[in-house]
Amino acid sequence: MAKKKEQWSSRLGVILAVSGSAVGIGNFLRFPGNVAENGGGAFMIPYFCALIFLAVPICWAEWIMGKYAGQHGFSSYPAIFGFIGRRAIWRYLGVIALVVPIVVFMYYILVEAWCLGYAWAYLTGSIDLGTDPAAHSAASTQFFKNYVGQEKDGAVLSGGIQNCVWFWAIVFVFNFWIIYRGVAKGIETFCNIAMPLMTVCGIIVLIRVLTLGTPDPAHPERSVLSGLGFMWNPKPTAEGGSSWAALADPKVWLAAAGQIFFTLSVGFGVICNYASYLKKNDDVVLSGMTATATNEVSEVCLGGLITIPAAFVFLGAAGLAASLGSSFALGFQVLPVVFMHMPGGRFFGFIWFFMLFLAAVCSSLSMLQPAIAFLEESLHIGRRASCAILGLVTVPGSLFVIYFSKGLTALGTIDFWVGSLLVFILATLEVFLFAWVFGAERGAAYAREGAQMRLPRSFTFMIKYVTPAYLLFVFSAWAIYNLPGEIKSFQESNVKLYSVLMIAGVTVFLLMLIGIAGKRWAAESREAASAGSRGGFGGASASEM
Amino acid sequence: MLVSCGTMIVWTAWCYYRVLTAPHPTDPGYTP
Repeated sequence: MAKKKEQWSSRLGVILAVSGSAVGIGNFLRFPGNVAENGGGAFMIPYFCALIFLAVPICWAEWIMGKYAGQHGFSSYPAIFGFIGRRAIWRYLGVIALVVPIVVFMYYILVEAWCLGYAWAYLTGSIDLGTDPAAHSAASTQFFKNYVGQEKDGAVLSGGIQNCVWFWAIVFVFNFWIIYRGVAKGIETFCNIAMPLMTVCGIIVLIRVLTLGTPDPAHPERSVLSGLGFMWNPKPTAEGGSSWAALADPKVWLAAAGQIFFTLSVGFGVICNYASYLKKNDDVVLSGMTATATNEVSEVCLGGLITIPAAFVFLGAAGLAASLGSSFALGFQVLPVVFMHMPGGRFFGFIWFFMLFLAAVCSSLSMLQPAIAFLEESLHIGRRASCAILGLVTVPGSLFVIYFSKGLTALGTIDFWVGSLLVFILATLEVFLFAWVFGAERGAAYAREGAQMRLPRSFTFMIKYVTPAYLLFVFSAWAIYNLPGEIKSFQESNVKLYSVLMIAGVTVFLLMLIGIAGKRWAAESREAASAGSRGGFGGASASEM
Repeated sequence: MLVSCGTMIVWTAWCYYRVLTAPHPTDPGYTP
């Protein structure tokens, strides 16, 4: 390829970038709610099973395929899929790996703007929940509803542009500015600063929460230890069950697998792209493992020890119960009440939401880069033009989510079809492509080149049989429990239909670009395959492209 | 809680120890 390929500048840089992609709002808001709602400590058993049998093998497969294709000059998913899959159909299936990050970005950037907006509100003291403690919860809920325009479509765009739209514009420009700077100068530099800063912010808030003691003498049962017990002690999901009865509930296993998928960016169309910027001698086994561990420690040790215990101490079990099922309710409605009661709450509120903002930026950057790589590779255009085209696609999509804000229906619908369904499908395709088309044994052999850690011998068996079976179970359970209700709800709101049409529009546009790029990629794949076969790992058969 | 958090902390510390100390393929005398 004529153009000089981008590369990460350091080992630690790529690990922090991949972990930054994984560490996000879900670590701090979705995980604790899931644990508390799905059996407490018992939830961690299906969680660890999903981590070991699903996430780690798929992550390694993504790292290996990404590095392999990257060494042959491919960085975008359709090109990687086409090169490894040896059939044109794989290129077109690669469109899912573009749709997921691009469309998720459209609403994720809005949530990112809320985090920055809330951090700013704490910094300037503009969050006012009134003086009556009994009315704080209602005031906080109303503040959030007004802030995001949850009561009426177009609320944040009518009567002058509202606060959250300005923050949306700021974070949008900020994201594109970093992406424009490139992989090493932009993403890597930002993650090298943001990840340690985010950890420091998290530790500050964690220390504050763990030293709260029993702040309200009128409620001696509301202590930090009780809060930790409320979240972590094994408990039944239904009345009358034993402490470990949650393990027999398929919904708990589904919730655990969903959490692992969501938190590790598995099947998000990111890791292959990031791994394609590795150098020839770079390790993938230890790097993949370290990125996964970084995400897990932030999720379990920061997310698991801050949110629920803090809310329990000030609001009790009853005050928390209604918000456990919703990350937004927990993060943007309950926690402001907690910070209102907490000594130094304004400072800690700012630190908390600023930390969420940093986590969200690291994640949203990883959603843009795969699309930028695709535009550069498919149209042979520069970074400036790629950023401009991607902006033209994502701005209207994001404005769509901002406008249809009533009940956050557009956001929820897109999250369901793209952030859940397409992620499962993409992960399944990746496992099949790696294990059965590329070859698990061949992939494992390739991973050993430059590896700083031994790839477990069980990896090939796991990725060929265990992971697909686990994926099938999770997908079936998800479809049985969630799909009928979502399909039925289409009758209730036109916005759901518009949202799906918007997703379909983006998909068609991307498929057209893949079609345009197909011939060029096929020629480049033939060239790369003939070079690769001489080097020992060539796989793409020219006749099959 | 202690088991979960302890496992994650030890696992992450071990990974970073290996990343920061393991010989790199470009180092002289490297053996995989």
